[in-house]
Amino acid sequence: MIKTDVLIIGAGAVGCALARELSKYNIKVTVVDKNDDVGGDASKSNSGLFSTSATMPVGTLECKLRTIAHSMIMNVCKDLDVPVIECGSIAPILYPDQLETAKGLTERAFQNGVYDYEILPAKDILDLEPTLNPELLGGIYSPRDRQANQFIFVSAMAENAAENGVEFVLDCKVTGMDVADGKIHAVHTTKGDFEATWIINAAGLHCDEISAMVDECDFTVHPRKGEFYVFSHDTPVKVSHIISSVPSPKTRGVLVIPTVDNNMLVGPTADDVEDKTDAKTTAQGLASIKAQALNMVPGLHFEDTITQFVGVRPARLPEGYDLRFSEKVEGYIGISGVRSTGLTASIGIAGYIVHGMKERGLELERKVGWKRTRKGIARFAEKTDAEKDALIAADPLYGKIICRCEQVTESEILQAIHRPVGAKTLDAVKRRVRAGMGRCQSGFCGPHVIEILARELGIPEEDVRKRGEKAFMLDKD
Amino acid sequence: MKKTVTCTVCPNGCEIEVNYTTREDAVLTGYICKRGISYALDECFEPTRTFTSSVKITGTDRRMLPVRTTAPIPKALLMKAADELKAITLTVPVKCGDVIVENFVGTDAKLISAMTLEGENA
Amino acid sequence: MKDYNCSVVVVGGGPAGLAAAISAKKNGAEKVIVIERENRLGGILKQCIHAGFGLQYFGEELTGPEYAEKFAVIAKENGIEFMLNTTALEIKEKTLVCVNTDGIINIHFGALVLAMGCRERTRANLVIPGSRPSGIYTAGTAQKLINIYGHKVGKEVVILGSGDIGMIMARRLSLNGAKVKAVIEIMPYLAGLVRNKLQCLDDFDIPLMLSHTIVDITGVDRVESVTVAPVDENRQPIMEKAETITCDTLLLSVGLIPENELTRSANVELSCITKGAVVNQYKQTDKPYIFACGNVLHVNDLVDHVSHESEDAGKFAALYAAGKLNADEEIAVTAGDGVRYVCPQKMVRTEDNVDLYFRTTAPGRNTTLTISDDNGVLVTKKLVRTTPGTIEKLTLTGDKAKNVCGKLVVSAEHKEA
Repeated sequence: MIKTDVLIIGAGAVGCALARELSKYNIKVTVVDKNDDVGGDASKSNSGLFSTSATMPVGTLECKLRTIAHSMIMNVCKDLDVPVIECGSIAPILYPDQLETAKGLTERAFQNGVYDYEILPAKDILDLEPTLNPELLGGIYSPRDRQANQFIFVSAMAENAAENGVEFVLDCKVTGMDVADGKIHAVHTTKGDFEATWIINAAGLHCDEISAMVDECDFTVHPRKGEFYVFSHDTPVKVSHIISSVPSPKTRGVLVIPTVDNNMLVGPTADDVEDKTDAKTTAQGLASIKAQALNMVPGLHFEDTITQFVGVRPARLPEGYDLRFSEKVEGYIGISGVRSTGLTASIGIAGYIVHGMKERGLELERKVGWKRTRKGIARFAEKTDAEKDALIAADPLYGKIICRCEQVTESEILQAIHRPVGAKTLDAVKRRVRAGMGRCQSGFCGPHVIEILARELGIPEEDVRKRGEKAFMLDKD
Repeated sequence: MKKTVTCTVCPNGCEIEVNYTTREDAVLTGYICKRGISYALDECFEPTRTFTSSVKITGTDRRMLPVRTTAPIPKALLMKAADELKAITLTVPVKCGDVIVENFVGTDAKLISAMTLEGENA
Repeated sequence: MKDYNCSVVVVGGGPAGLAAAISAKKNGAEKVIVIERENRLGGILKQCIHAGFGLQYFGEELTGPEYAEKFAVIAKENGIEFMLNTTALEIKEKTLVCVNTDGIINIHFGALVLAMGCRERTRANLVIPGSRPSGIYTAGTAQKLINIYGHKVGKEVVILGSGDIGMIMARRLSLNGAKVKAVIEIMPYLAGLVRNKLQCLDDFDIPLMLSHTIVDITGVDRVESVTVAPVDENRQPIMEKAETITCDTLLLSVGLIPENELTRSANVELSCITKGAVVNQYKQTDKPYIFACGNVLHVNDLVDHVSHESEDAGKFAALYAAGKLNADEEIAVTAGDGVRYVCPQKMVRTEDNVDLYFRTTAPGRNTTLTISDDNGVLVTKKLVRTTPGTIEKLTLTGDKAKNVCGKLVVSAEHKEA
């Protein structure tokens, strides 16, 4: 039996934000996740938006927590060295009937405290974003919508939490719980049994399965699939604002997103599917994104796509954030209903939950010397020649380019592997330092990265995985 | 017997039809040049291929040494040739052209190294 | 930071770079440096262990490593300097910025030859739907894993694309004991050489499915199957006729793209068809001190062509560096009916012969190839058979090349499809 004070199930945005928040105190915190890496399922494959609450349903917990989080997020990203682009967003109004919707949305934005969400005339919108369809009638401009690399954000929180003493146990799936007399006596996992005073269900897409183990599941979670295109940085037509459809109540529709990494992102679709592991792109989905995006930004070059991917996000029924301190099961906290807004809201949710734990008797003693900041891995490709020379003088492996498309060096890959909560698979390396994220999609660097991972992890090359439990890169006899 | 052979001697790619019982009495149609005749007959009676592959090597970062036969070997022996390589492990230095196996798979052809490997950066 | 000066710097130590460097040296360049990012010379030929190289250039059939080694030996004999394990990062006017474990290196040159080769098209370029499991490789990556590392990539393999590397890998995998279940080609004709179909597919009873494509990939961790459908005349899949093939590996052999990112840093004009630089017959780009050759200029099917073409690039780079190549008026060389592209795209009037390399748009028989200018046909050549998979060459002799009127047009006309 592995004992801990707080057991967090799920290392997505919410789990990692909670881990970091709790790492401020003298308390033992353990995070478990079924995946080989932090970043969860939905948290690592979304559009990386830090948006305001302008169009959120008024007065909801979701709206409140996201508003709070949005006001804190730039500071957190500064502390954790997470690059953010403050690009703002534009929703072009292309049809007369969208004008009424847009007016309604500005009214809602006002009620949500977002006063700088405005309708601008066509000329002003086109001056801001000349790539837009010139036939637009106007547009909604929202200057405080931002974009970050969602994985870097989540993994930075995890790294910082780990540096402050939180333990992360990955490749660790929760398989059941012993519940009796209103208490959880043991949490069974594929890496042994855990015992904890507090157990927080931050399992996102799978939170219903965990809830069912404590018989607290009065809701359902449906997987909603979102397909995306990723563009090469050398594509000739790039947007400088987040371009979205005029939002409908269900979804924001297709977006064209400039990213911190300079790879434009176009998507997502929103298709309800049966299977939570259904990460298949479809011909229809991709065609529909293309048509919708070209309607807003006619000059996009889809032939410059470097990859397409799917993010599966949880859709809860009934809808809405549900942050629940169990009445029936002592120490159990269930978090459900967190959707794409949760990337921003995660830090708000963490504060809310920890406050609730205090209210329910958890004595929290603040750690002395808690490390507030974390430094990202210095990226060779972004440095000046003089800075590159200095990096190489300190570590010659900064002079050894492994991924030629993104100019990623061996030093960066080694840091990705050996940092706290480090990379164990090719995809995990790619997410941290972009090796394999370029035009050739790891055709050139893949064999090298397999070699490096095997050497650094002390495993045979045949055991190196792309991701997950069984996605081996080579043929294993 | 009747067989159609696409000639690969030159880019013309003649489709040569061969009607035969023995090599001597074969009747060929569809070729442009004489080189096609011997190619098509060989394909019908004794098809051969240059065998190329690689064998394990130690002492350098490259783990496989490219090898080839000095002359084409019967097509039917290709799989046997591939199997024979599994038992071979060499060590640097090896020069391009070094003989690795004489009378490879029982033929007159030799198996030779197709690369010079001396060490890390050779 | 270190600084070097040289007359000609060549980026890439593969077949194109080596031939260019040797030729530059032989044509008077005093100091020639080759930049190579890997630890050995030879470029992609190091992994092309099959035979079929050198018949035109050396008159004997060689494997890729042998062909490369012959050039490497000559290069060393000629006193060419090599910087191995060194990556070129950027071209800043007449300085090439490179990096290795010693730091940043600035190479100040008189002329530069681009010889970086190409990369493979990926699944994303084709927008193949489905899941994203492990077990999907480009054919060249699989070739590297098998021929250099000695790895196994899979047991049951489907290959998309009938390009030469894909077919050669089909044979390699079969000899290694894997089962290659099909080679799938969206076009109604073979992309690679007929010889490779015979020796790599037919010899091993591997079915070739023309006019088919992959419409779905299944497998959460590792590839479990692919769904294959025939396509109509507009290359759209006919879903009712789709069938599933179980496999654990999918290889993609769907074309090559010149690797021109370094070229972009110098703002060199690129062709949207070849994806390589726009050059004149000297292989000179619109930045007169930058030359290009080999697969970074346009994707070749025979390395022997690459060697010849690169010798031109090296020679004229040396002449430019010595101040002996004068700027002159350039006339356009364009693709006419039946021709997809011509390289070079520009020509300077000259008394020397000019070789024009090009690809046709569709396969056919009894083909007439022509070069014309505004006054009419200058050169005619008849071929029994042509295919877009094969580069054709026409030579404009010096007597005609000096008097070209207006622009040059290269055309191809088939008597039979």
